[in-house]
Amino acid sequence: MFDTLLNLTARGLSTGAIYSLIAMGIVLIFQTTSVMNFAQGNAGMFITYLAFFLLALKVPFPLVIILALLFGALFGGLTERFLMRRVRERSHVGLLMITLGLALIFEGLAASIFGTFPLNFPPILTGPPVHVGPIILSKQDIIVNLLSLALFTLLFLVLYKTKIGIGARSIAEDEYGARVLGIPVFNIYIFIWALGFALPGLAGILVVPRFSLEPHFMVPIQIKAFTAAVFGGMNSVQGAIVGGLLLGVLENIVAFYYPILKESFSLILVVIVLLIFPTGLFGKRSQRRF
Amino acid sequence: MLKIEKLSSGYGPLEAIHGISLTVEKGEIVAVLGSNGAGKTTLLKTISGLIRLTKGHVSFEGTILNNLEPPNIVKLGIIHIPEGRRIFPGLTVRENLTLAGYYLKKNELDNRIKFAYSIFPLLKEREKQSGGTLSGGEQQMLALARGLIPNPKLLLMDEPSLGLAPKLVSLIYQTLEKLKKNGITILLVEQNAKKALEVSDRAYVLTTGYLTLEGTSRGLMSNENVKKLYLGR
Repeated sequence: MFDTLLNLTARGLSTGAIYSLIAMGIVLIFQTTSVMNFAQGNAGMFITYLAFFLLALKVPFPLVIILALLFGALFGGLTERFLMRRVRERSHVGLLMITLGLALIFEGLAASIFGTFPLNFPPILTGPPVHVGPIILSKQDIIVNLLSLALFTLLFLVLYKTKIGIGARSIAEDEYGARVLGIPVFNIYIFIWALGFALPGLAGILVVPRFSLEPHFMVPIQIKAFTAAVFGGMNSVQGAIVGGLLLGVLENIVAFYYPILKESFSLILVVIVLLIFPTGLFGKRSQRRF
Repeated sequence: MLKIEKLSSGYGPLEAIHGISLTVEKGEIVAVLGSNGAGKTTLLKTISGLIRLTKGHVSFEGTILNNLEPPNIVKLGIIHIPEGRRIFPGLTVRENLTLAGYYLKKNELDNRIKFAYSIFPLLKEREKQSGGTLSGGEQQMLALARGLIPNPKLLLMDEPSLGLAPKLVSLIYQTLEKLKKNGITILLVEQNAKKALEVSDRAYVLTTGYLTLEGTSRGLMSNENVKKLYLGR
């Protein structure tokens, strides 16, 4: 019983890490620009397709990952610079519609360029699973956890130790205040959108070996990531990480004992959390004092 | 140093200031007085690039500022300390100061932060506290300290005494005099006309977006209209 729980938790953590990566992108963009980015999942899907074809061209896996992150950053940066910035001053609903539209464009592009036939995307590492005490984990799960941990650490260093990161946090608090100080808010928006698209790209590559690569494969993951973001509190990056990991673990345990609840569990959970903690587990009500 | 010619600006189709001309010379403290809605804040926002001017020119040491974005204006040495202080409550005191030196190199930034702490030692003690936990007076000190970090040539100050206890107002004004002695030029916007006239060299009076009076501060203090309208005598 205990060993089973331990195994379910360990595997749940690697699923949760994927949710966390995407949820972080959602929260970063939401906090700094107040836009709910619905294109995140499908951007990840599109980048995963690009990665698939790079691998087919015999590009080494580490390089594929780096290129995928760069593609994501490029898509995100261009989206901010040429779509979001033009509409921001005029209409907030317009911004939401653009992200929805982008989600559809990515899906349509993927279907028309790459087709809808499900493809097999290889894991980064193959081979027999690894035994750590009573826990049995696939090599892919281990690499997912390690890569995610490295990225979480890196992002925290960026957000708390670099000027661009602290600047992004200041915009999340008070955009006007940041503009008055002369902080280059537009560059920071581009940076955040670049991050917001690069993260799901990586998440897509990490998670796709569990499914098959087709234009819809990120949709359920994106919904889970939204759940994780709300669960953790929409205005907290820490919350997004913890929310994603907790959701991954709880979902895995519930699905094992009550398979019928697997798909609906995350939504039930979010309703319960919001009833008890309306701002999520880590969310804060904004506070100001003059 | 700062030269404003026939400046009009405002918010969208609403023009808030109409054809204002004023100058600030190096080393001066110049005050802009006026009641609520006179266009004082709009004037400062236009100089610092937060809103676009619709007519006229603003130049600083020979550079035309008309179409520059705030980051470029900050890089020229014009620092705006806004009304309501606008410190970041969730960021630490140190982080607030770091952002004020966005364009400085690491060494220079550390030195400037040290300098700011030497003027406001209290902030050093509060370094790791988040800005939102400071009292109103401490927040104003932080806002002032932030203004000093980038080594400004011209400080634009919007209502530094607003909402502060009289003792703190005096402290803030003493600091302004100290800054002036250090060669910093200040354009000060105030409703507290008495304090502003005491500390400044020259002053302008704005009324509903128009420049209605200008002169030396001493001269304006004895002006009957100013006395009646702004000094409550």
